[in-house]
Amino acid sequence: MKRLYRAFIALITVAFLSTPTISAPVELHYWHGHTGKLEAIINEIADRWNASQDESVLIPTSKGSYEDILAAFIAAYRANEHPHMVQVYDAGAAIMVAQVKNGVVYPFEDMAEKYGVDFNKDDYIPGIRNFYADSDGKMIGIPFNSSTCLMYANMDILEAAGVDIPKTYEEFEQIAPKILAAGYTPLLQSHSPWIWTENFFSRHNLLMTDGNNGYDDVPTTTLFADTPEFITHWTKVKEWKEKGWYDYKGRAWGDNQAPFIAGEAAFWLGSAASFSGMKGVVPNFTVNHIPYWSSITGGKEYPTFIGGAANWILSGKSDAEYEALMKLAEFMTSPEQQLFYHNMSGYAAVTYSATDLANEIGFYEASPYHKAVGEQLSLTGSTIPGGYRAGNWPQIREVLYENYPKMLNGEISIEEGMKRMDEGASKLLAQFAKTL
Amino acid sequence: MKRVQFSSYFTQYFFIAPQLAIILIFLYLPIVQTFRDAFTIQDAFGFGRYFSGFDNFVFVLSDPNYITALKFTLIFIAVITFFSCSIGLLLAVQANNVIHGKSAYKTLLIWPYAIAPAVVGVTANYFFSERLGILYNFFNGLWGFDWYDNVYDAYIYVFIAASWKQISANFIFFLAGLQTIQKSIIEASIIDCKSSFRRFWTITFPLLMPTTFFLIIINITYSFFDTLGIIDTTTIGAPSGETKTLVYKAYIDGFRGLDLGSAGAQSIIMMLIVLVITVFQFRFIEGKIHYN
Amino acid sequence: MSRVFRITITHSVLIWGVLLMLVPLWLVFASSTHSNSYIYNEGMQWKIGGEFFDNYDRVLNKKGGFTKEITATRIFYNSFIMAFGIATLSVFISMMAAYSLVYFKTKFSTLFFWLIFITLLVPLELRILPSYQIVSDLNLTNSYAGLILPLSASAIATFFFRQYFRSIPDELLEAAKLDGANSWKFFIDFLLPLSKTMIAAMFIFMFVYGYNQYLWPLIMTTSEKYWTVVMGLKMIYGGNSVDRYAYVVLSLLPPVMIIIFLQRLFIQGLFQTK
Repeated sequence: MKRLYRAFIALITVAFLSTPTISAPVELHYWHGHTGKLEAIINEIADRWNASQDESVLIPTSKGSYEDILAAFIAAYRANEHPHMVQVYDAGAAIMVAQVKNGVVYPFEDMAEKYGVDFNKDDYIPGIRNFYADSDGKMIGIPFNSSTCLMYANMDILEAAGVDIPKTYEEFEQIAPKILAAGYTPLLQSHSPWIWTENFFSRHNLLMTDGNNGYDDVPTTTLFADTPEFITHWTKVKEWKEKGWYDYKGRAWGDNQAPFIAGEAAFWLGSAASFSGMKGVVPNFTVNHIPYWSSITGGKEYPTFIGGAANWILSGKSDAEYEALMKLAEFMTSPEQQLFYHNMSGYAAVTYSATDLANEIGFYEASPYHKAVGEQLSLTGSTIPGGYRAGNWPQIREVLYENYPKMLNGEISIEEGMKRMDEGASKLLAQFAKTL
Repeated sequence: MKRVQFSSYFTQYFFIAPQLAIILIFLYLPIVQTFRDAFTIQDAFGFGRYFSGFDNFVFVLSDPNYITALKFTLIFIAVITFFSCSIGLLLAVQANNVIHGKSAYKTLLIWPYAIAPAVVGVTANYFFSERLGILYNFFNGLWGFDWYDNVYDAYIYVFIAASWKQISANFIFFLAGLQTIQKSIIEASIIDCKSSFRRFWTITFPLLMPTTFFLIIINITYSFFDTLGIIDTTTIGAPSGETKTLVYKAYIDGFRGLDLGSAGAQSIIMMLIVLVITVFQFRFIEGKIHYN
Repeated sequence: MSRVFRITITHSVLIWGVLLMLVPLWLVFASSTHSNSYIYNEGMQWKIGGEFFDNYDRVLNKKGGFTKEITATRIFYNSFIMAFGIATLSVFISMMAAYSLVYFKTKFSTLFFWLIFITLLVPLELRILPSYQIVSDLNLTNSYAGLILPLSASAIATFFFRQYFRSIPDELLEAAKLDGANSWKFFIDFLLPLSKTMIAAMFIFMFVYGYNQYLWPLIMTTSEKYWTVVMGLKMIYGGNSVDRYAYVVLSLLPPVMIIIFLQRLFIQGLFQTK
């Protein structure tokens, strides 16, 4: 009886599916971690895609933040309620790449080939291409909102203090007293693990973990205490804080950014993605590359790691859905859409064809800000990999967050703090290695 | 226990069945899973799962920050229970005495109870942000308050935010408790005992013991579990992890950090802690309570 | 001690208490009536500003998410439904369970009590992934039932009613039995009216608990239609703008209304127990 019933249902289903007139558009679900203006931009992209064709409908859903979305989509995956595509941030890259072998994540490169998407790997800016790729260089995630850390500068304050934007930290040390004397906080920084740790290493062409940043072997430890340059940097930061050249406002991103927005601080180190929120709010600001120690690099400038997030294709959906999804991916990575996104959000353009298009229409002359983002990411000459493959990284960032304040307020020495961070990170890396 | 009771099995089970059904499905099944996770190593997606004995427990307990969080949690529970209970009781007693404006006072004291922990945190943030925070500036003027740097200042910040929210809850239940005490008992005691202060401690307070006992449990579970939203919107553990409660740490390591083994182990450790506290309470406090 | 002196003390304690509770929220409210840039640069305000209608109109009607189906109004509605469902259901089943625990002779009472009590020790945050899987297996994701059911077994409420029933004099049951009341009649005709105050208090307690949930709706709902108050605080009003002040004020209205409404029951209940 039951079998008969099933056959009946199947028959009806087939009958409906084969009737061409009722083929509804495929629904594509996409979960992301953006809110506010950045969310509005994603919604705009979805509207554009939905208006441009009628085979599929893209439905983006915000899950609040990068950390929440990771947990939310994994919960959903385990219950088989996951979306087609999910946005996962830089610190989650190792987790996602490791899931290719378990069949959770489908590599972008394979899917592009399978569904015949117009895809040219060499077109992607190398720093962006490699960050979300596996150790053989196969692209796993689809680069999307690629950011980098930048220095925001309040030009009014610089004028009042009679100084220029510094390129290096040495130059910053020259001008900081003048800014302080003019009555402003010289420097603020949001997100120490990202800017003054991960990107400190890439910006100075130094390895952050063993195993060649995890690209050759599963990493077992971070190299904080073994990197004298890194210790020197934090020793300097501590000195700056004592002199009032740098102020630490806790770990909340916004608390460190707020004085800059209010025009009380000369420089703020933040993300390229902060641009869209500050445009029109902060009067006379500009952006520049993040400073570096020329004493460490010998005056040479190295690129930063890519920040932000990539989109990842999840398994368990139908062939028709993937076909539609890959068309969407093609759309989202097209030069025109990227340029729109680049312009609106402040995130980097991820392909050369997009930056070429931008140059062609004179976009970069009109917006030096966007130029800085692209330039910094496209710098070459690094001998280290363009990323790091280290598991449990979200938790390792917690370890860093817990040790920096102690170093800054003198509870422990810089060397001791570095040692503790290495120990904490090693334990977490070992814990992750057990699951591989 | 009641001296007189009913003895119909069917009715008894009928009454308790809905509650048991829901906790078995929505609480015990997940708890069993949590126990299983605590003794296994697995990745976030559930792959590579294998039995690992007490590895997760060793991993958690060997983390010095876990011990820091444990100490903070115990202090946190004690401080919040003490302040919110005593202020709540003081206000409830006064509100019960007052003749004019009783319901106005009541309404005004009760309604902040409705605020979500995360909203309390956001509001506290307005007061304690270095830029333009009224309380930050006030305390800073007094002794150089700076919760970004100083552990004790960060304590003050979360203590104020978390106790403030809980005062109303204590007030409501103490008031409800006071109202169930029969007027005749109080009136009779006025004759025996002239001092209202002594009368309160010898007559009223013992009668309030069931309420107090209940409230202590409420306050413990509140400060243990419900303050997650407050920590997450105020200090985020500032200055360097000292203001993380155990639940917040489990949430960060387990849920956000995607380590189910660690989350499971931390849950079990927490269960044991709360269990010890409550069993202790039942043993030593409830025995002394006179239910009428 | 003179009477006047005592009354003065009483009132001044209460007034200080009221100020302690109200001043922070007054500041939030007063600030919510100013312009965004003013608040950003000047901080919280004591005096009411001139932007009340603009700010509140914008917040109530601003459409969030992609589908534009979600507004603050809808969010408050969702949270209200969720909280109301949780409160009603949990008060009901907890009271029944407590009745069973206190008024029946059985060897399982203690076991059942601890079974229920232990659930207090594992908060939702720590068992959220397995809970989600179960709700998904039952096909309850993206539904009010899925939001309500898993949170409606309250150890606290059961515990509370147990305490309360135990403090009711045994004479009541003896008298009821003499009147020929069976266990059903006793529950409905005696216990239920007697517990009015307690029911009101528990209802408030569970309503607020349900209204303030964040993680559970975040994980459980994949559709923007079901966003709740605390989610809105994060998703739509995450930034430090004056809109967030207004949103905070608005979000308080539903539970505050419930509290003020039920407070009357408190008083009624009081007279009935006399």
